[in-house]
Amino acid sequence: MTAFFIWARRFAAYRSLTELLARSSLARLAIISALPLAWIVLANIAPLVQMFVISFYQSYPLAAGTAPEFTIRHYFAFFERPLYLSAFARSFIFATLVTALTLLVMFPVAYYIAKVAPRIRRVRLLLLVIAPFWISEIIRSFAWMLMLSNRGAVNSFLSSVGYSGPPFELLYNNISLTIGVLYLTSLYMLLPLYSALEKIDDRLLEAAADLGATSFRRFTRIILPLARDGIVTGCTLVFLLVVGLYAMPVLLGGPSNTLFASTIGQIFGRAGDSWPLGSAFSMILIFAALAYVGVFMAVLQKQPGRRS
Amino acid sequence: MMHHLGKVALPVYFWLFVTWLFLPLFVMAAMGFRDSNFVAFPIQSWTTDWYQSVLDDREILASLWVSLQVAVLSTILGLGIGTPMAFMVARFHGVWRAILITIIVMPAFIPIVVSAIALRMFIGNFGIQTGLVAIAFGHAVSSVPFVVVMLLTRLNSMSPNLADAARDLGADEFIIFFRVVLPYLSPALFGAFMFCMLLSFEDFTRSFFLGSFDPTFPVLLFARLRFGFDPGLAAISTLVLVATIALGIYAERFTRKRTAPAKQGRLAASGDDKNV
Amino acid sequence: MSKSVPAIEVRNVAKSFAEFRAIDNVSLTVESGIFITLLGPSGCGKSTLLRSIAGFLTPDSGSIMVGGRDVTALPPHIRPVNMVFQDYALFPHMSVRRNVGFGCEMKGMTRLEIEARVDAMLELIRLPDVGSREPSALSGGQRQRVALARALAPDPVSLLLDEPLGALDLKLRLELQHELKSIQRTTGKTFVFVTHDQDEAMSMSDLVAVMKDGRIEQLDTPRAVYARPATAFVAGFVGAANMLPARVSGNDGAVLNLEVEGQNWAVPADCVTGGRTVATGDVVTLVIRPEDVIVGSGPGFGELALPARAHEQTFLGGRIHLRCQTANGTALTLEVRPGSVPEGDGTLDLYIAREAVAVLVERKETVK
Repeated sequence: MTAFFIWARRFAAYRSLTELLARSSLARLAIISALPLAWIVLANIAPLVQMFVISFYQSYPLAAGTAPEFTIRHYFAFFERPLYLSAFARSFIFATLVTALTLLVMFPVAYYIAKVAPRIRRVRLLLLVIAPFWISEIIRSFAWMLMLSNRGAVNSFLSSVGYSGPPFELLYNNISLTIGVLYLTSLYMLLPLYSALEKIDDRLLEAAADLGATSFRRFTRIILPLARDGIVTGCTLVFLLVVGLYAMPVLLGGPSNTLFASTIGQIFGRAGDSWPLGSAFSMILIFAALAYVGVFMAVLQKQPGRRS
Repeated sequence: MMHHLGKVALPVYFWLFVTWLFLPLFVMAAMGFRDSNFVAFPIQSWTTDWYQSVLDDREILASLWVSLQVAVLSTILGLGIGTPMAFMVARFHGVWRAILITIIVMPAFIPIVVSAIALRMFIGNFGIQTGLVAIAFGHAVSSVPFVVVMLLTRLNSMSPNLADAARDLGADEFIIFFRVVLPYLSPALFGAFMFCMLLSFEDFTRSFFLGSFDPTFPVLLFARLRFGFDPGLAAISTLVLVATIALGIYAERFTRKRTAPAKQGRLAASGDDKNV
Repeated sequence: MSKSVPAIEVRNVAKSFAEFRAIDNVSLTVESGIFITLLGPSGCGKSTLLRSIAGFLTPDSGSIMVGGRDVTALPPHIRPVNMVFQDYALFPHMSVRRNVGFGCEMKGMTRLEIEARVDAMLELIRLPDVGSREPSALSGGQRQRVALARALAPDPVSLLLDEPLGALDLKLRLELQHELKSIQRTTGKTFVFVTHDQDEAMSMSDLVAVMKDGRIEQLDTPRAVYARPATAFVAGFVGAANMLPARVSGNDGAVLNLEVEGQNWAVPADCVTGGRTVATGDVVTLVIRPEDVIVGSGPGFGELALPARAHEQTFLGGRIHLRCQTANGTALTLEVRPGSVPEGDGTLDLYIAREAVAVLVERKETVK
């Protein structure tokens, strides 16, 4: 490889190109940036902009040779059907509850790995907890279906220990959905929490204890404030993930509690002229979710004693 | 009191959590051995027939093949775009870097359903049909942010003097890239490679909305699960699960081992006036 | 020394970063085979100057010649100088051999030539057995020597060393100073060495360029820089210095008459540093090194007698730091042998030989 470039030096064009690159960091930047910038525009920005524009179209795809007509009726449609509004509300309430639950469940886990477990075992414990998350969402849903169905592992375990009533209805309702989603979200909470907790200097806790702080006070005055960044990041990630869930609610949830993401998916599944409607709903979901998260962050930002 | 909590309650809680994580997976693995057409417990008689039968299931094998193709294609795309993107970001500092990173990681914060559908409508402009290429494109969109972040971490640990040293010794920019920068990045590149593969292989939502008649494995599994399940699905899921976890652990170990010792050679350059 | 083409010539080079003038119109000629040190505090422009010579920075104005060739517009990879970096910058993924051979490889040398050159270099740094190791398996001192070998291997016109010993502990640093100097002698290469450590500069260099605020304050031999500092900054930066204000009461070109601490004192006129001339009435600063102040023993010929009060002694093992105050209130620091002064506070008779004084023509600055 190197030999090739050294051989290429006999050509004046190669020499002037490499000299230009060596001299001008701007030239280097230009060569490096061309492809990524095109990608950012084409993959990250343009699709959403197009979706935003389409949400104002009367219909899409356009018939050949016609100019688009603009309307905002698709946004009004959201408020006209209680079906949509309730799915939307359910999504946000569900996502909020699951986020809180995930935080509660995962904080001790993260704390144990970061602060209590012996240092040399941390990486191994972390790996142990992360491993299941490389598996597909669908496979994990399936595993929980096997656990929770009427003749599943939980019910048969109960009957084997002497329970003789009718099997518990654990699958296709909010219980199964919550458990499944928790299974999905816990990692997104664990990693930010872990990295925040791991950074806390143990000597701070010792100093606080030395100054007479009770364990409860140490927790509320030192650990929680210092872990705040991790909590905010974790909650944000989990909330946005849950609000956009599509497959798991279909597999584990009941038919009566459709979430908004499923609603959007179904709208796009219909005939082509419903795309503007789906686009409008997508925009509502994005902006509402980001606004919700933004408010949540702003509230935490205002807390006294926050480090910048 | 907290003392006891730390010594006893926390470890117990942690291992309960681990049990909760793994129990369903073991149950699924066990179910694959059940000698019956129905999924139920307890398992009274065991068989390996299901494992053999899924290997004859052409539909499943085809979906695995599609998944693999998509994974390879999207990984090539993701690394091909993400690598120069990481270099680009590394050239910026302060506010500009923050803005750039925000735009780059944006796809990770958009609800997946929405971004998948937006991509689907967008590729229509270019006459790209739903299917393998579209799915790979969708997966690359979601993996590029991770590639950038992973490579950037490694790039940040690279002394700027390394490239300067090569330059000083007579290497032109191409030689520096292939002989110094790329080898330095290689552990992170390998990590990113595995990450892209796993991310693509496990994805459902994007594959579902961007796919056509040849489903990827998760999409096929989803479709079958909606019509009930049999021990055969548990068997194939277990096989995929074992392969995935093994690859994931291998990648994790490999990356950790390769990135750790290289850091020793590095020293924070307490710059005199070169930072000005 | 044969006057051939200078190894490096810097002509009126200036370089600014935004508002900050890193180098302010610097000119410097480095003869071939010389060990020269750019010495100065953080931000004085010494690294900027070095990186400009290496080609990593392009000067805003002025020109740089290496081996008689104008290289101002050339990128670093085609300049015939090589650099040793403070953090070594060894390629972590290559063996020591490949590191050392890298520059030769870039020159398009054949495999055999490269191997022979690498062997010679490893021999030179007295590490012939580490060739197959990775840099991470070496100690700090070994890495530093490998970095030196790597920079020497392509046979550059001049070697540029950017605080190469800064990351090592004191003992190792002293050892490597010695070795660096001996390698420089053996190879006869021109070394341009950057440091903020005056001891390092003193012990190795043929010439020292003391820099401040992007300018060279003084370019001289280490002895001259120490004994005849051209400015108060140089006096304070290179070793500890006592500064006494004085007034010129007469100058006949051979003898300089001074009024200091209410006394008249005649010193040789060549005590005036920096090539300046002084006239009657000028206010000057006298620089006296702590070890040049003598305690007790009565005045020798031409010595200045200064009664002073000792008010603090610091025991440092082989010597004692003594802080005194003259009748006029000027603080003096002395370095004396233990036992040569009585312990505790008290009045001392201090004497200063007239050859030990350097006369600066500028206002005294607050220099530590």
